[in-house]
Amino acid sequence: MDSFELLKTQDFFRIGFAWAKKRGWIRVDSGKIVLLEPDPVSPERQMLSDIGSLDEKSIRHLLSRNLIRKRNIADIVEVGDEIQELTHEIIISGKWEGRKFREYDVSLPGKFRHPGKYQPYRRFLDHVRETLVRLGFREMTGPLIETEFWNFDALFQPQNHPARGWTDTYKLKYPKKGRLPPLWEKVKESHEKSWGYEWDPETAKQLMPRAHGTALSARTLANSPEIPGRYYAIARVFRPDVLDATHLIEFNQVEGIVLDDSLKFKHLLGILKMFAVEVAGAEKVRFLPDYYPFTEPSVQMSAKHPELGWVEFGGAGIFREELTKPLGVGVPVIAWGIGIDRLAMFRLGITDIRHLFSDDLEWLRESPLR
Amino acid sequence: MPKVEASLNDLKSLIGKDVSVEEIEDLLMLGKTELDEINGDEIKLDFKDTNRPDLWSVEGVARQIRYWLGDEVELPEVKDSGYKVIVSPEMKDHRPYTASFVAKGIKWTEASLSSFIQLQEKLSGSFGLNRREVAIGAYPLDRIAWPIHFKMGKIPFKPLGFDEEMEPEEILKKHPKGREFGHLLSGFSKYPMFVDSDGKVLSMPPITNSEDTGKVEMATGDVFVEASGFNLDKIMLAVQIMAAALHERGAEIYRVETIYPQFSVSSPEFGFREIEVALSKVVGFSGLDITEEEAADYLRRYGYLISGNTLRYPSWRRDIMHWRDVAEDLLISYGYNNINPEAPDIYTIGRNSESTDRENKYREAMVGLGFQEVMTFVLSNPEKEISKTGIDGRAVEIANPMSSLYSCMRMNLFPSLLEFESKNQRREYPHHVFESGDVVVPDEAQETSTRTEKRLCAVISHSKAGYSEISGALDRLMKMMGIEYRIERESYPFLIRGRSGRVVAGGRTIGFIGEVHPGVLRKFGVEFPVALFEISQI
Repeated sequence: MDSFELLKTQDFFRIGFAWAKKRGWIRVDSGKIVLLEPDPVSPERQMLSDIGSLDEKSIRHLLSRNLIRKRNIADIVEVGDEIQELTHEIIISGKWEGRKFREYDVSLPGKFRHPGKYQPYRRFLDHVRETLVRLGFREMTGPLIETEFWNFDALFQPQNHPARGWTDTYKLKYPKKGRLPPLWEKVKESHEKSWGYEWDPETAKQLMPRAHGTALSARTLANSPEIPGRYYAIARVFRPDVLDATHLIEFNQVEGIVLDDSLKFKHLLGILKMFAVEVAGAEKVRFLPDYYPFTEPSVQMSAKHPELGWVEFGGAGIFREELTKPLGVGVPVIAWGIGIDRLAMFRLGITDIRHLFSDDLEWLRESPLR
Repeated sequence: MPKVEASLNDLKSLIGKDVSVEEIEDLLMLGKTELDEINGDEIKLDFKDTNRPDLWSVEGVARQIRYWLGDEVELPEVKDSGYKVIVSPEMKDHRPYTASFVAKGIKWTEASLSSFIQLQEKLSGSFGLNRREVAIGAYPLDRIAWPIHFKMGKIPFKPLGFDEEMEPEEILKKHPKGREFGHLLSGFSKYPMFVDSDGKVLSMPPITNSEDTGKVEMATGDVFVEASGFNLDKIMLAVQIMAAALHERGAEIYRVETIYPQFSVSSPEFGFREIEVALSKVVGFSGLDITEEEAADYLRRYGYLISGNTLRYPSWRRDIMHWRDVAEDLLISYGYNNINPEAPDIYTIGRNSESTDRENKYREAMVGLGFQEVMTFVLSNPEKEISKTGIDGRAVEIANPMSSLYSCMRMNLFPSLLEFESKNQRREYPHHVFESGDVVVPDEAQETSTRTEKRLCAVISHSKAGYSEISGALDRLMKMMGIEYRIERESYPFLIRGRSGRVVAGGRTIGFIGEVHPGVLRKFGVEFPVALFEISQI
């Protein structure tokens, strides 16, 4: 009796109990339940077991018991002779034979969930990546935080060079310093011999967010690269600036090196031209003498884009021997670093450079694949 | 890069030939100089070679062009004089070096005076490391009583642009240059000064000249020019460059002797430096199809004097450290655009790094699961990374941020995606977004004391976004990646307790998953439920 009272507080029991009593399967006799029908089958279960041939009354009954659900008018299987929605049931039963299908207004756009989609700028970078791999380049990788050693010293940039100053690159407050690789003494010797100053290992240990992708090239050269070899990186780099429509504080640089004994200056020009044509769709290129502390000769390329006109494309050169020798490389190394944001903006049809890192979900969803 | 304003006609007259703008652009390439802007006669020049200050003026770049057009290399004539500057012993610890010269008979034009002033500024600026290693001053010769003394003093004088005498301390506080460069004299009780034999102050380097004795104007035909600072080698070079420029304007250059307690130096001293290299080696490296005789001719047109394997060049060039520097000069003289670009004839196999290949699989899987990819900045701020999320720890911090919004490296991806969500609450729901990217965390064990880690973060947001949907997405992802994993209950300050867990794979925790706590959502300004996971890419 106690358990019966307890059961009566439970919804599922109360409902089942009431129906069993109503159908005459049980009876309550002085507080006890007496079973009258040993193997009861509800009419609903019968109806559901033959759902294909129900009359309207039964459907209404099942609906009222919440055992089936009604769907939209457009989903109703058949109306009269016309088939509205083609279903599994209709296909296998053969009921479609000799029947007409209701016609839809096919010009109305349907509705579909939002797509899964790549970020447009990343997709552009993927394309650049693919092109470079196709041209025989192997990818280089490295950390976002570098020691000044890899960002500057290994690249033969003297420690008092203005570009190493506070306004041109970020420095770290925490942590402050890293460690030097074993070859640091050779780099020290090269600096002191050529630039005539006392090279300070503590300066070289200072940490900074990578300021150019060339840091990756330095690491690659020091790590027994293949000769002949072609290497590339798409490197996120960081420079102090005020973020606005034309300036980013972090951006992606395409960096590459080619190593071989046979390399001459004309090959540097050849590689740059190939890149401009293959990646940027440039019509013409022009080379300007330029200066970088780590290359000699140095060149800057401008490319004539069919719609942008002449665009400064990036710097390149042959790494100085004062740089390659201490890192253990004895053959000429062609190196280039190219900022491709402007090209990406053009390709994606955007005018504000911040949009490359767009925070507008609608634009990301709706911009076409380019 | 140093930039100057100049006059197109002045440049043409220095080149000595009337040439079109297009020709000028090509000729300027010889001096790694770009014509940045052109507005009638006013032009802006951008000097690219930070290692060749001798080119940083119209006079300098025109000189390089004249060699190419056929002028012989010529060193300016320097005349003897009795002019002396006496350096007192106490300078050694304060501003140790100076060198100078006198130029007479200058007929200034607006263009030449402007060029002189700009060259002086450029040499004191980027070359002189903002006046520390080198600062340059110029004075009318006729007001000077010789010899000049370079000494420490505390004599009041009228600084440039002021009408009354001021104490040196006052100048450091009130004069604009005093405020800008005063740090170079901080802690001093006396100050570096050029004082003439009558006791008149010429200047207090590297701050300012005297209004009475240190103002060069159009009518000043004869000038005394000095450079002072911490780097004697650079000072001697700056003096040569200034003197050469004035010489090309028709001035006569006179020597000045600087007498130090232990030695003396006379300046300017022009001469030739030399490098030994076989032309065959230079031609071979350049890859040009020319004879050695032709190469010698191209180098002569770049300002070299050649006899056998000895190449001589004017002493104001300090950039030649290696024979490859000569090779570059040969190529520039030949003309970069006259060289036919060729692809290297080598065979290599291209491929991506393992981490990129792996990342691309993750990205493909996420797009397949119906997520929109986003890309945000790695630069972040501690408020977003730590205060708002309640995470315990310290981010990798920037010492010199330009904005407090970008003052550290992100340590997780999800705060950037919550920020993304807060900006997109009017965009149609549901939102399924992800980012694959780098985070940076301090790590003593690494060479760079930090570790860059490739992460993947997925965010689902809509009115019923919850654990079951996000864990379903993670499960699908892990199956696609072929990674066996499990989720163990764990609490995180930014996730709802009891609806969060850590993702374990390969015997270690690789990330977290859960529903974002409403308190955290509010801090980020997000008003709809968010469920997310973030994992390291393994």
